[in-house]
Amino acid sequence: MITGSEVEAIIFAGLAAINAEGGPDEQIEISTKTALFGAGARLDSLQLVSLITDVEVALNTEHGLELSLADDRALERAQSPYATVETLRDYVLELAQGS
Amino acid sequence: MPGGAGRYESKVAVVTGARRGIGKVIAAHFLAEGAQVVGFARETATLLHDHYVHISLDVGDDEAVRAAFREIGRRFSSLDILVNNAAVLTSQYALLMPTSKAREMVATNFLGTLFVSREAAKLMSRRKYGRIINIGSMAAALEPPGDSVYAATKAAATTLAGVLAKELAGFHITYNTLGVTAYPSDMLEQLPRDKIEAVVATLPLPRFATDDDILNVIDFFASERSAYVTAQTVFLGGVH
Repeated sequence: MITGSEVEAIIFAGLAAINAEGGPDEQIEISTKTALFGAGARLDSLQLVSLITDVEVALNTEHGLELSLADDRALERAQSPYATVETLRDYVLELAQGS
Repeated sequence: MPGGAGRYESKVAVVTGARRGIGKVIAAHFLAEGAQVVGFARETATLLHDHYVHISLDVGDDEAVRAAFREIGRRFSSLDILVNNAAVLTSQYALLMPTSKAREMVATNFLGTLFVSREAAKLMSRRKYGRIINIGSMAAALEPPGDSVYAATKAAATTLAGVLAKELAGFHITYNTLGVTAYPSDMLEQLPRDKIEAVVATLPLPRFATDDDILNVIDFFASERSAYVTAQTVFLGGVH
């Protein structure tokens, strides 16, 4: 079973890839508290799509998990699973446990 | 020309509805020009080629589409071109249209286009390159009686192309539509010949579309040089 640390590492790698394409003044802090979506979000919509896609791909290629992070369940939550790195990590773990 | 040099050498292309008609013509053209082609269709393959992989699925089944693109990602790691061609047609006056047939057209022609484009764009976004082409229909522009649902699903897919062209522009993925006129195919043979000929007679260029008419525009939209062409619909035959 994938661990929280492993999921965080995947999300951090996705954020690092976004930072690699940004200028010095566009760098996103990489931490579990980083806001990804909604109030205070540090990502634009394109970067969020890119991050979610990268995380899905990495979960599949590195851990054999076939999860869809953008399904009906994600939209039905009172709090978006994409709000922060922490909420995204927890959502991935929840889906992984159910898979 | 297996592995031969061509304009699509080293490109990976997905063509939906690749089993017959326009989809088969496009898939065969990509293969002849050196591409690796993955064809989707509900039934078994009708193309045999070293560089052709067939996946039997219903494009309206989002789980099947996701699984297919996971497989494509594993096998080829990237995707350059998608042609959304799969479509079904039931021609019937709206007041007589069976609900099941209406749902089937929405599921395949519109939702199928969304599901396939969404997963294709995820693969394309990795390399920040892609060409997505919808096969549209003159029905969306001409709105012929009897084709209410079919025309509406084709119009919806074109609107989808316009919006996705904006959403995907940052990934350098273009999204365009080829609006095909009457083309000799199994689908067309479902319709009364006199009705089709009457519609064709009203076109500025009153004849049926040929393979080359279609491939000419496909090549234009699929070209690397067409990076600055997106959200466009090109109708054949002077339809507008």
